[in-house]
Amino acid sequence: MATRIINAVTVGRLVIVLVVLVVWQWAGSQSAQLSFFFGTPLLIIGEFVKLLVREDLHTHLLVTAGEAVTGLAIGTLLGAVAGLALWYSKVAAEIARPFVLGLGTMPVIAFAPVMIVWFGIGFEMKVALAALATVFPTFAQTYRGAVLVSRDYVEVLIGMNASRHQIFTKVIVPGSLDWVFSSMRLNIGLGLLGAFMGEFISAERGLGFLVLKAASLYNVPRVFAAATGIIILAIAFDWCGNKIEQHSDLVIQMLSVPIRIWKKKLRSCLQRWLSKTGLADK
Amino acid sequence: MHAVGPLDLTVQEGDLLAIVGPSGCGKSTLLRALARTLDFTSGEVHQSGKVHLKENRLREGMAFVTQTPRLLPWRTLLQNACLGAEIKGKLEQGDLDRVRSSLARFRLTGFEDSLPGELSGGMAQRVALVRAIDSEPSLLFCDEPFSAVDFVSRFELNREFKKMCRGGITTVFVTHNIEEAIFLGDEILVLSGRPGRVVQRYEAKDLSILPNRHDPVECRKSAEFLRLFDDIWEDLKRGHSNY
Repeated sequence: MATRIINAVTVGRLVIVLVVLVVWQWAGSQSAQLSFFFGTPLLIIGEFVKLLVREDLHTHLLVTAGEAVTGLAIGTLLGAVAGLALWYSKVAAEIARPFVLGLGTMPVIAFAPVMIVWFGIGFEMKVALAALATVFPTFAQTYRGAVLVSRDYVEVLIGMNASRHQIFTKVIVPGSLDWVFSSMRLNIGLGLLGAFMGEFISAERGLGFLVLKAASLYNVPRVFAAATGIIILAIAFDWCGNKIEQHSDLVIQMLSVPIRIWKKKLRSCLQRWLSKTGLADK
Repeated sequence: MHAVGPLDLTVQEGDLLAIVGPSGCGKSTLLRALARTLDFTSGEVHQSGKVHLKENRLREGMAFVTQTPRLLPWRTLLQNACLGAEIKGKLEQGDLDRVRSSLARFRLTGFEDSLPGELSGGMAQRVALVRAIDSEPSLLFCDEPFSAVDFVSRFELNREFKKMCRGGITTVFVTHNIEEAIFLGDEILVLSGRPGRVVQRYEAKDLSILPNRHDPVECRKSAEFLRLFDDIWEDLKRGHSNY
């Protein structure tokens, strides 16, 4: 029954994609104007192949991915550390709240000019924009997670006469990490946007650079082809985020439990993974 | 409004004091006040002759088992059971071995790497017990720890619990189950309805007449057990008109 539903969903999705592509192709072939403004699926595929063969699409893809991942990692780390640190002081949290909300809602592009002043026009500027786009949402989410960790768990440790620091490392940090992971997944789009914005401002490589260059030459199909690269990146990042979330228990244990009681589990996990990939036999 | 009326109670070192009373009579409040995890309006708690203050370190060597297991959901069963040892200091191989053998005693072998979400309620509660007892407390507070466990498992847990506490852990055990109180208690305190006051106190000599004190099933078949059950039942009725 469940398989039948999944099949129906897959077929439904494919039908929608096919209908859109066929209508798009047909409309483009009917009018040169439409084809100029919107391209056609076949033209886009052609441009995509050209980008792959002649323009080293994979290099541009890796550049943007590098900027976005580095920015996302820095933003998530800083946001999570700051959000968790605020758990220690309710007063500090109250003082910081309006500033965090204010800064969090500010569009990241507004900071772009000052980022150029601070970091130049290279890799660092794009990383800074991606980090800036992700740090405040992560900060807010992590603090929320830390506050929402069940009082029941804290009481268990109080009953054991645990210090405040032990409560923080054994309950608050691991209890909020799920929030950090989920905010990281939500922030993938923001990280990519930051990197992309940076490339729009000034770049010689990267998907943003490809899109900008193609648009300045009125080559709409190439714009779409380069934008496909962004979609590929977003899907790949989301897949990685999903994998991390699936194994979040292990990550949390590695961070909050003495190595003596998780190394065996890590070993069994790795063995299972190796046997699945077939690497264990080699 | 007062949850607990004025009362005075003593627990002998190494003994298990069972407290029975109707729902809402302040049993849990009393327990938390004794453990000093809750502030009370007036009164004092003394431990080994010293005043037990919330702020000082006398709480060391205390463990608490509640109605719900409160296992940390991101930790495996073994990691949850080791928490007490971890809080005390560095976790040694000896601690791990001890916890493993306690888990085996509570028939939890094979589930060491399971997460709490994968366990039944009864299993999770057993882990909570191992966690409390293996932190080697000198004072153990139990707030109806077996109330969510099925009828048969309850007997087995009572038997194991009694064996584990025989090592001299001073225990205050709150329950609404009279049979459990008779089987486990070295002394029994019967409380009235809200605000809870002491209606009756059964001391070690009243309970020493019971036969088969190591086996909850056999013990409850005896005439002495039934007589005691009736007495406590009457006390409860006396203390709470609606009971």
